Amino acid sequence: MASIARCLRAARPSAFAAVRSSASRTVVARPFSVTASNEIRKYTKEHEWIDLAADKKTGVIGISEYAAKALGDLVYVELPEEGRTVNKGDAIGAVESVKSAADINAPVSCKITQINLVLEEKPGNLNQVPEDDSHGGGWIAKVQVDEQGLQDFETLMDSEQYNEFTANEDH
Amino acid sequence: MATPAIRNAWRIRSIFQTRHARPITTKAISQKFQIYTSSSPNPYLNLSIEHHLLEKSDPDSTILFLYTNDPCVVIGRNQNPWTEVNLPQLAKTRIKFGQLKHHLVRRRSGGGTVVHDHGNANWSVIFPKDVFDRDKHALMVVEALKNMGIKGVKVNERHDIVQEVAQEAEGSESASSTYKISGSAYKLTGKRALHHGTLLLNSNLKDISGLLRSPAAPFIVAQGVESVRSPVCNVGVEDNTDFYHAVIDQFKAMYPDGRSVEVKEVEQQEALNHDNIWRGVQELLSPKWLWESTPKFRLSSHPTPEDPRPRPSPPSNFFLTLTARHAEILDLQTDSPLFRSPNHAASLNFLLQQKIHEVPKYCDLLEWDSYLNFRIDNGKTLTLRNESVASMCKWLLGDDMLATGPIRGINKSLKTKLKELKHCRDGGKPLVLDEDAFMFHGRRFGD
Repeated sequence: MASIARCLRAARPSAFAAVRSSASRTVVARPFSVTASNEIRKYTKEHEWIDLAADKKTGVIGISEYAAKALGDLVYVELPEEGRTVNKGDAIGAVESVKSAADINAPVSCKITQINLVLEEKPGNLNQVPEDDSHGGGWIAKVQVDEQGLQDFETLMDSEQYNEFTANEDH
Repeated sequence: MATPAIRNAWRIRSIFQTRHARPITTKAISQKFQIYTSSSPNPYLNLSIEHHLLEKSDPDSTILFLYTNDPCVVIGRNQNPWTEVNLPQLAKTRIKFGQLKHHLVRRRSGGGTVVHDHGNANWSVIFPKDVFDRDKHALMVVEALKNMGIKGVKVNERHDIVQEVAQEAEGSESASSTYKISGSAYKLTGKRALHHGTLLLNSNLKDISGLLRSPAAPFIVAQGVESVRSPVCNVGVEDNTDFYHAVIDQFKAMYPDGRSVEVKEVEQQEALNHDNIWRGVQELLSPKWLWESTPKFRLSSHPTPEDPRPRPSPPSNFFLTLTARHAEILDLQTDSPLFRSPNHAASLNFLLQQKIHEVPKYCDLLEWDSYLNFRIDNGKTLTLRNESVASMCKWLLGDDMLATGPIRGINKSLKTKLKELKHCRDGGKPLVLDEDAFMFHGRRFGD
């Protein structure tokens, strides 16, 4: 008791006891390849995009500018779960705008390796720069792609085909 | 008031002549137009029938689904139950078998929090996403109400259905006020869109306001979606099925190709026996879905630069900030005499990475000593008994702010509800309940 009583003093802000979990993550700025010429970007009919790296093993995914515009002001981005392995078309997350929760689907079979935590704080980034895969951009996740994922990738539209596709959707 | 007797006796009358043993077969959900009502008042089941229709029906089909739920508080998909709902009040009203008077439900669509009871009718339209429009089906409901002779109804800029009600003003000409009678929420998948709302017909509005005032809200800054408060009123329809009929007629007027569609009633038993619907029910009843879908939030007992709002005064000189993402405690800071004991660091560390809804009992955890002494302002020493220490911790970490006590009650009611539904699913036969059968997402239901 005595030892405890000795510990008791008036609370002082400088004596703040603090603990922080290792899970409390900060997003580290990791500049993504600036010379993106080696990447190929393709789109799904559900308006997701994927950049496949030159090594054909990794990629970045997000939702298209067309979709971001159609959804209106985003108020929350529900990010995928890191480490999860998903099939093409699986719902991996969602975005909410004007009372609507819209699924984000996996454009190809893949494993989620990193998520863009900045979007939780700043969902507006997804409205402003939805197809930007750098730090501060609206990309959603980085993924690992296997053989099946590569096959899925081949079935997607390139940007020219996608533009044509969205032009038809508007009619 | 929904007493247990009324609750059990309550059922939407079967209003339509045709009854199908199995209305949601693969063939049925491939029809171009479909209309369903539900015989079940269970919100978890009804939302899962709706989700099944959204996911599995023909991508080109248009579906109307009408149902009425038992009393429940329904939060939007990306909302925070600690800031939106008065959890202590919700958990206080236990009725028999550990069930709460109001269930707590997180739905799959966006938007804000609503309170349901038997005086609410839920309307839901599922249609192809390429013709998505936020007002179209709210306007359909407005037309249905007009056909019932209800005046002054319209859709406002927030896509809610509102009613203008004339107020008796003394002397001068009468003024009018606008009240919300139905909200709107949406869910979009790859090819499909869902628009649903809940219409206040003859709801018990007294229950609503208290349940939606959280004592923790002044302490918490949350990401995600915050509800917008609106004054509400009933349109004053006594029988929900009158409203069903009016909406069905209007749906058929809007989609003339579907005018000969039969209205099918989905039986509770059939829905429960459906594997995909049952999976949906299990998901909605899991603490993982209910609590861990909560976006990141930060609770501070005192004003901070990022959240300078004045706080209701806590009962002691207690500083605490807590950050949680998906209900997992990521960061905890405190400056309190209570935490200056030799076990201080250990107990704080114990809380890290715990899920708020899984922490066994904050009070037990913190009751390492029978007495604690405080030096108070005038230099005297105040000795507090264990009990008051516990109550202070409860105030900060428990009942009143994070509502841990109520969480235990709510988790228990989720578990009871699941047992009850599983019992029905198994044909209502007596069932030896094996606790281990309640494993979801690799975690046992919180107790």
